[in-house]
Amino acid sequence: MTHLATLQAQIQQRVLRGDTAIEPQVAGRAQDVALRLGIYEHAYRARLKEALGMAYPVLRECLGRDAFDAVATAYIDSAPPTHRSIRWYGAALHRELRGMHAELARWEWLLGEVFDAADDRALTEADLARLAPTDWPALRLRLHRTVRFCETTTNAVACWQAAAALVPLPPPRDPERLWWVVWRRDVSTRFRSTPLDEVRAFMRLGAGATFADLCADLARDMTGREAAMRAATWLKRWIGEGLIGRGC
Amino acid sequence: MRQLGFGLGLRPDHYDAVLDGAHRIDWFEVTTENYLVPGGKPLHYLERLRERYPLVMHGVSLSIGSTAPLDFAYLHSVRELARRIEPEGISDHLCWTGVDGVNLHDLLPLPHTDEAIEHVAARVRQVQDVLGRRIMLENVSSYVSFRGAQMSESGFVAAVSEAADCLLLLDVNNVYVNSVNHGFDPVSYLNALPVERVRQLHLAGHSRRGHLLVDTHDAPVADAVWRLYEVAAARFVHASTMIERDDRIPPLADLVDELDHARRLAASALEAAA
Ligand SMILES: [Fe+2]
Repeated sequence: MTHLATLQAQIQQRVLRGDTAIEPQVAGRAQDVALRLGIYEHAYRARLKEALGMAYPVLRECLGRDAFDAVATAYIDSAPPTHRSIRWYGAALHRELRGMHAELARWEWLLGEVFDAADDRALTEADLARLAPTDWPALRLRLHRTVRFCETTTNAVACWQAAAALVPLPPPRDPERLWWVVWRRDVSTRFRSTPLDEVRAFMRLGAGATFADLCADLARDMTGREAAMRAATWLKRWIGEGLIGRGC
Repeated sequence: MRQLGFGLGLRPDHYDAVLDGAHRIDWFEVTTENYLVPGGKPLHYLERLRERYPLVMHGVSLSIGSTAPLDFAYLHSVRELARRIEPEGISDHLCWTGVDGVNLHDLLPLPHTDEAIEHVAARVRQVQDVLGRRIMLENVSSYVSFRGAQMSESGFVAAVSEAADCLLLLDVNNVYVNSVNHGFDPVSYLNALPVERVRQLHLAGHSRRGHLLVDTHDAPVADAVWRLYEVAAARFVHASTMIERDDRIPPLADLVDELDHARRLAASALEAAA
């Protein structure tokens, strides 16, 4: 290893785990050297904690500063950052948590992903009106590129909403499985809960299903006419919400 | 980079204030990594801003001094962003940020040795080839210096810029902070740098920790730094000035007032020099 490579490895080991090997390389008296290196050790943790706090503001609020700090410290010690942008630090923070807090962490990270996901254009009613009725069955719809899904079994989303609205958090609730669709419309993030059959329909669209495929899926549990009505109702809603992408 | 006048660092807190109305701000410096995202609000605002102001891209993760391999995926994303917003300049720091696949997100100091000069210069040339232009490297604040230094910090900065044929972004606050932390004369530092290469000046606030100064960017520019800025403004006539503020961010109007102060000091320093 070159002198420069050794020096850098030693500094990094100092910052990550307090190794002392670098100390003889640093100019100054022993006590002063420790103080000087300590500025880097402190700054590293402070900066990552700040980044985690920005990615997880509601979680920090729910846990309280001290508990959040402890979770952040454990995470920082287990997962040093590898991305070029600090914005991507903290994706797996939920692993340090249990129950509602773990779901809240996943939820906030997902909101962050949607916030700066790739831009996309949404299909409009006018686009659809241009279609001939005979084109409908073969119509292949695709989800807007910002769309993400999330499953919860606690009231993590209700807690997030309460915290965002600055009202007291709701009490814990008995487990209930809910699906959420999260997306962005222009620059504002939207979400709503969605029933399981609609989630299945979204997944089918993701896999390249046509409008006729959606109707056929639904027709297993209802008449063909009801299935077509249901699919048309969904489609109208999805387009109104901006969930369907325009073009390919 | 051409002379752009007096600018500010763009901060998300100020997006709406900046786009709402006219301000005495000539240009903006944007943190490159904040805009290396697929889409959404950051890029939306950046493009609105670009329609009205010259921009300079300022990176924090190039890690030009690291002994880890250059990250070409990162460099290509920087080039892509530059294609999109056509910045007046692209800068990063004369430092390293990690090795072994880790990015410590800190600007770590290099030893002032011939080995480091050679290493950095070779990498700068590669970066400049990819980006198709000269970059500006910024002197960083530091809290340690290494035994076995072969030259002063200013000698190191000047030698890197010559060997790499790159430009310099002179952070006046960092010079002052280091002059206290390592005990050197900050004016001699400025005099050691090649005038032609210094194209941008940074101003920022610092804070005190014991007998050391820490580059915190959380306060107004200190008086001692303003005095050093007068010397820098008179010497580095090609350099555009900007104020960095990253923490305890005040309303935009306060920063515009601080920038006016820089304008007045620079004008009188230039007049006195003439
Ligand atoms: Fe700076």
